[in-house]
Amino acid sequence: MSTKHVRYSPIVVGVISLALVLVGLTVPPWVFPPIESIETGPAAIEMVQFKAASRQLPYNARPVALEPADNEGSPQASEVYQNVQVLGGLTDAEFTRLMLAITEWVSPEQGCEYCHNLESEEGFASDALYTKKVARTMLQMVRHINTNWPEHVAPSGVTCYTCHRGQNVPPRTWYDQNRPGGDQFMGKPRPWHLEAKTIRQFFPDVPFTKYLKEEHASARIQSSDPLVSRTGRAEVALEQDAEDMYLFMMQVSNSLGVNCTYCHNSRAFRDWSQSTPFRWIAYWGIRMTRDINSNYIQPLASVFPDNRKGPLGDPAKAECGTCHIGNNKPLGGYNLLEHYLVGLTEDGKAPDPAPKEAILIGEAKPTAVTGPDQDAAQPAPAPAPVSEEAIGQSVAPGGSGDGVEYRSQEEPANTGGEDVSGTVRPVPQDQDANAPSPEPTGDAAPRGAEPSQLDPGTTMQPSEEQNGTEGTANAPSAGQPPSNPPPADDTPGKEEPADVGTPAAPAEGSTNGGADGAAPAAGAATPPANRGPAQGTTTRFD
Amino acid sequence: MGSYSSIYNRIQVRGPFDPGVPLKHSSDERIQSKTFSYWLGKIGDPQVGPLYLGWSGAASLAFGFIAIEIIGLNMWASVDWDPYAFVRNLAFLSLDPPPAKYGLNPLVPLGDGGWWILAGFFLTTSILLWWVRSYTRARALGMGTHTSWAFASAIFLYLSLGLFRPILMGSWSEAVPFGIITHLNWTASVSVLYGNWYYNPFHMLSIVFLYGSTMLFAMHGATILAVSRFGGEREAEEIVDRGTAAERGALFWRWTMGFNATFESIHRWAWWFAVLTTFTGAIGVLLTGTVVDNWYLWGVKHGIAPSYPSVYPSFPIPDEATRSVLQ
Repeated sequence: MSTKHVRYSPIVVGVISLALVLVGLTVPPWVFPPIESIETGPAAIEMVQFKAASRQLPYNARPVALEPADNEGSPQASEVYQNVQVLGGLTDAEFTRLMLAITEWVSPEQGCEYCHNLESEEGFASDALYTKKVARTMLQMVRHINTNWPEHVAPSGVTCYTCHRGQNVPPRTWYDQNRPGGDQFMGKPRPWHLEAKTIRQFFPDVPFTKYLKEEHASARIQSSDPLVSRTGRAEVALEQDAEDMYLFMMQVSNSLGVNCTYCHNSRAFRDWSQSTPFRWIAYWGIRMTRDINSNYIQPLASVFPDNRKGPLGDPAKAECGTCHIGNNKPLGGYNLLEHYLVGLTEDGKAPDPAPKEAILIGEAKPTAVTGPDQDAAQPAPAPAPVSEEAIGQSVAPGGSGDGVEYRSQEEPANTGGEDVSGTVRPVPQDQDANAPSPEPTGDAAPRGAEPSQLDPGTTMQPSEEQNGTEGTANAPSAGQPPSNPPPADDTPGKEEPADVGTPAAPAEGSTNGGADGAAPAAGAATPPANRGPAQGTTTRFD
Repeated sequence: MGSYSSIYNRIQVRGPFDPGVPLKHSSDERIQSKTFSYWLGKIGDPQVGPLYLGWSGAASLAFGFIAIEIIGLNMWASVDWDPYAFVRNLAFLSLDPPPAKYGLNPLVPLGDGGWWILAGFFLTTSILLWWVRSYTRARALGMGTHTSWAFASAIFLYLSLGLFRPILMGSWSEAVPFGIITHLNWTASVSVLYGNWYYNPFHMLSIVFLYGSTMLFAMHGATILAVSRFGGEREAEEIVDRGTAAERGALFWRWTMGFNATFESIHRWAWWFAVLTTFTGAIGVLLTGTVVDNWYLWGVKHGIAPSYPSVYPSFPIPDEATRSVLQ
């Protein structure tokens, strides 16, 4: 026998294949089962949300509320301090407590001096630093949100921490982007987020400019008729507008950590009668965001220094993800506001849960819930981690030389452990010790506050007019399909600040919305008579 | 023949170089690059050449090169000629059609979509010239022109998306951008814009034929490999001179499927499925926005979109959501 010819190619190919398989197994961030699925629609149409219990959201630490202030005999803040324009009606004790809390939420590292120029003659009263003026407007904004936008924020409301998460600048913001001009090579560089970890994060910020300001584009892109008009013209939006709408919706989806079917039946996105009630919550949220972007944040353009502004000179604005940061309820619905109602609302009352309950009145629970309780997997309250380089890294305006604009850092910077080394330390508290502050009375009570407006800026039509047609699917619904067992009943008035239900069921707000003890508990949640078909009947055609 | 029993290719036919049949009509000489490639032989015929360019092939390559250059250089320009950013962002870069304000005007400023029109022109010309080449080369070899007409069906879909439908709609902006992710985004947003393209019956047919094509391809390939030990690779001969390979294959499909194609008809099945994939797709494209505005509502009107039980509480509908788009 002659020498045997050795073939190397199978060995080479085998080694390369093995290496590729190993890379594929180890490099991507695989999510291993079990993955919880929550189905919210009629059976078999896959309106389902997926959650991986192992998934850790960034900036998810829950700060503990400070000890209640001793308001007994405490003078008003406006008598003690100069230049208290927003919070002058608080007692000195409550005012100081709130200031300490804000410091913990926003500038745990820099302390009071982040906003107050203590070296000036006026001391705390000085408005020399821009941060002070911004903080004042932001306080007004928070009070405005909590009092006038209960449709979106009830019951937990918002605090400074909802967006700031221990950072000087909220981790997720957006700037106006340059629309590409037609004066050069056909460059239409969309500012994709190329360092994204998932495909959704690639989507650019451009649609925010279009949809999240008072001057906004119409979101109605689809036609309500099957066929084109009699003149032969299509009755839909332009494809480019549709793409911006699509990108904006993907941003919302990414911000909330949900998919399309959390709000929409994806077979007919425009059809409200097939949408889930959560579409209403988002509807109000989009309007709330327009309100605060246009009326609170944009006017600060003259206050912010250049290094805090975007390429077009606008301040960092809010989008859904600014508060939500990957959670359908910011911080899992953690109610921090109830400890600071006096300062962070206009009328000292918790956000009125009634408008939202009116939306979710059938207690629109998921039709089928599999897997363990979502909120049970949420981390327990803990002091907020603080970035060592919070200022330096939290904002990156301007270009990076490749013609593509990037927005702020998305991932938490390297935090130096859980230990907060700033001037303010959160006081570790027993849960039971954190009773809400007593409601201010007499002179300490806020003045001039009006009851919350149900629907700022927009009229609502009752659905009878839209659902005039009798369909086959008009069986009365209490939001609970007959074939599924009802979920475990939440005991009203449960003594737990964190919410207890499933994340897909904001109607639970009735159990803990009443920080002042006056909010409705179970009694107010009686569903009214159902009002006709809710699905599949608004279609109209010739 | 047992060599065909494995699922990978173990046969490399390495005879003397085959120059091919003499050609009657070709005006050019063939380019005789007499080489064999071991690695090409792993997946196909190891022989490379003879090549043939001809006027249509040469022009097609030139036009195609220009089209790719326009697209690539525009993409590169859009990242300020940064080579690193160009490579890294390649999948996300785009050359877009002109905005709607230009309508069907062919004279659009280059930077505002004129480059897209130019790229589209050169690419279309290149593709059509390649079709001419596929037709004339088949004729030159005395073959039928089945391949050319299948190719034409694909070209019809391409032109429907980029030329015919924009003309019917009266605007270049209706066309597809050049770009990897951006053309996918176009697909997704157009589907949503026209009320969910899955209810478009021609889209349904196209999917049926697409999936059917893959299934027929797998069935046919598997059958021929499986009967090759009985001479089944001589498919064309067994069409008319039925041998044991054809009989075994036919019996197998009667046993497992109840019905069998013949060695001839299976190829017609496959050809029609492939051709109808793009042809029905193109019809669906051409009807969208010109006849049908909302495919979901069209499906409701014609009873193909079922309604589901109501599980949500009745809630008010925003006033503005019920107005029509153009008001």
